[in-house]
Amino acid sequence: MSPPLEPQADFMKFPTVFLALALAAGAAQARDVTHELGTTDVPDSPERIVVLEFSFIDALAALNLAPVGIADDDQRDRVQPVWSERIGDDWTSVGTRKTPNLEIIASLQPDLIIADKSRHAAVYETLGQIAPTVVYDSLTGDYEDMLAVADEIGTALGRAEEMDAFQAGHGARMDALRADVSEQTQGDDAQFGVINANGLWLHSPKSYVGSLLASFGFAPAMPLTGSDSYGELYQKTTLEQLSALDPGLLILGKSGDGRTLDQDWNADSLWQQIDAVERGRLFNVSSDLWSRARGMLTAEEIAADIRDIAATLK
Amino acid sequence: MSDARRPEFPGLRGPVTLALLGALLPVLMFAGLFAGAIPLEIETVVNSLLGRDGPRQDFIVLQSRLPRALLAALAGGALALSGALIQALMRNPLASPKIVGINSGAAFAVLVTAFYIPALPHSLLPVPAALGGLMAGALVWWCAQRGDIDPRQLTLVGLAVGLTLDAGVDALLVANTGPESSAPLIWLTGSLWGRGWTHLASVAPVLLTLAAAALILAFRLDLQALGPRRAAGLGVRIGLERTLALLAAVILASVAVSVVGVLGFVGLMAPHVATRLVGGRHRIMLPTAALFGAVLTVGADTLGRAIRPPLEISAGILTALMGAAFFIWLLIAEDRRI
Repeated sequence: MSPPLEPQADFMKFPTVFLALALAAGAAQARDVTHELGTTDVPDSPERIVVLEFSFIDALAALNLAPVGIADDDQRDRVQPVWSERIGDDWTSVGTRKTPNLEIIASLQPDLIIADKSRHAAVYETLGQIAPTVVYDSLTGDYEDMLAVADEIGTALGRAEEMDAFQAGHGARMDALRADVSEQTQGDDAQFGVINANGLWLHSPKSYVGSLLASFGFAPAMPLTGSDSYGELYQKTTLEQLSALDPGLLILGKSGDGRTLDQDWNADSLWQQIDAVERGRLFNVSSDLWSRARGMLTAEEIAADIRDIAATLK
Repeated sequence: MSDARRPEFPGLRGPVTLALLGALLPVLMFAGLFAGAIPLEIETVVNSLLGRDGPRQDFIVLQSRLPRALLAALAGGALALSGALIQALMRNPLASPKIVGINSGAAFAVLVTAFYIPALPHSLLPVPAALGGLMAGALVWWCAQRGDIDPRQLTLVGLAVGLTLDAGVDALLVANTGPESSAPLIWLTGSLWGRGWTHLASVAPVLLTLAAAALILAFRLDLQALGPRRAAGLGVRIGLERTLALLAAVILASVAVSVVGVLGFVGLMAPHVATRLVGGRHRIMLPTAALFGAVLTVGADTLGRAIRPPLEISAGILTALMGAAFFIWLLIAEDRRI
């Protein structure tokens, strides 16, 4: 897939011609894209893209590009409405993010696959047999890291300028939302966690949501120490540990209408004495949006949630 | 199955069963090329296999389904053969690579390697797997030597060693909760997802060599089945024969586990089915068990790919379901016989 090598001597005689040809060739041919697991020849304007993590949908949607295949965990409603508005509904589910269905991916005849560093490293070479594959980190890192990955994806797709333009607009919209709420949130220590029937996982200040909350003027409830490994970013927490943390504002991400652990804790005085619970500063949000759907479009949705939460604070 | 105990043509029964299973395996593997998330026409499969023009699905047929079918056959056969050898050597019908702790030893060693030496290429994972299996086997053997334990108790020792190593596996998974542990978790359930030619190439030479060696040992094992004293009386060197056969059994199971994970019940079920089909003589029973294990695993993997796309059901989950049902039936049947 490397660019054809022409006899160079001829071109050296006509530097201007060479330069013009080189520029023309660069616009029409595959480019080397460096990513987490190596360097890949990516076609100049890929049109049939398969994405294996949710944050990659966001990067494509920002460019108004519709993927042909999405690893949606076989649950189409995990794809956020804010993305569907831009990418439509004409894509095929390729199964779970953990074990995407390689046969379905191949049948879609993609010209680019975007995969996650930790989930898909084991099948990187196999994916490469299907189509050029680029790999980024979708699961760790904070809000700024997400922006940087989106920027890299823009470059990989040959649409760096469009991505820059979108990110500028996104930054302005986020700033406007921050200005709306910063007065109400100063000094409050806020904590986000995902809760289901089996447990509560707190997102550390270094996590994606943690960094978003900080940018909205909240103080962290958890200590700022700790590495940015997955286990430290998303810490499983007991009621006792939560009580010791004693956040002044607690945001719980829930998926669906099923029973969650806080309903059991409700009768416990330990729970009732948590500062946020005592002061009625307990909020429920969608964990699909807050925890799974990292991205720029979804960050604006989360920011709107934060604005609504802040409006209730006095 | 009552006719299994009173065959009408005892001399022919073994070879005929063996031939039928030997024919069924390639038929099943070929049929598996058509089934899956994307059902394929016969024309598409043949075009891809022969490299002809026309509609083709080269990745699906040549890079996914074909190597997976071969790997399933090889790994399933190896686990079954290992189980048959272990049952024969321990003279305990409930023994298997899983029960005596070999699978757990291999799984533990592979997880340690995957988490703490991530730079090691996947094609080298059979090495730590074999070492882990051998260490578990050696531990069981050492405990047995110390106490002059009879084969039945040896199974209990194996169970204890296996459970200890399972606890080690759990500890590793607790210590490594991130998404990087999702691949090992899928592998632990016994899955062929994402497997291809490189995985096949990394285990095929060892497994085929050991399988051949095991079949040569089969004749000796027929004498062993008489019991240690009578076999010794017939000139079989008990120590050497046992050690070689056990080594083969341990490495067969460990190397199979390193690529397809812990395929539940194959090593336990296949020897039982084989014994019921062809009787207990090892020169017939061992290859029958191996072929049955291969058929079972190829069938489970094909079914797992086709049941509910886009999801894949791990082959290990299906073999465990079939195995559990089989054993409940076996216990009831044995009970009736007594």
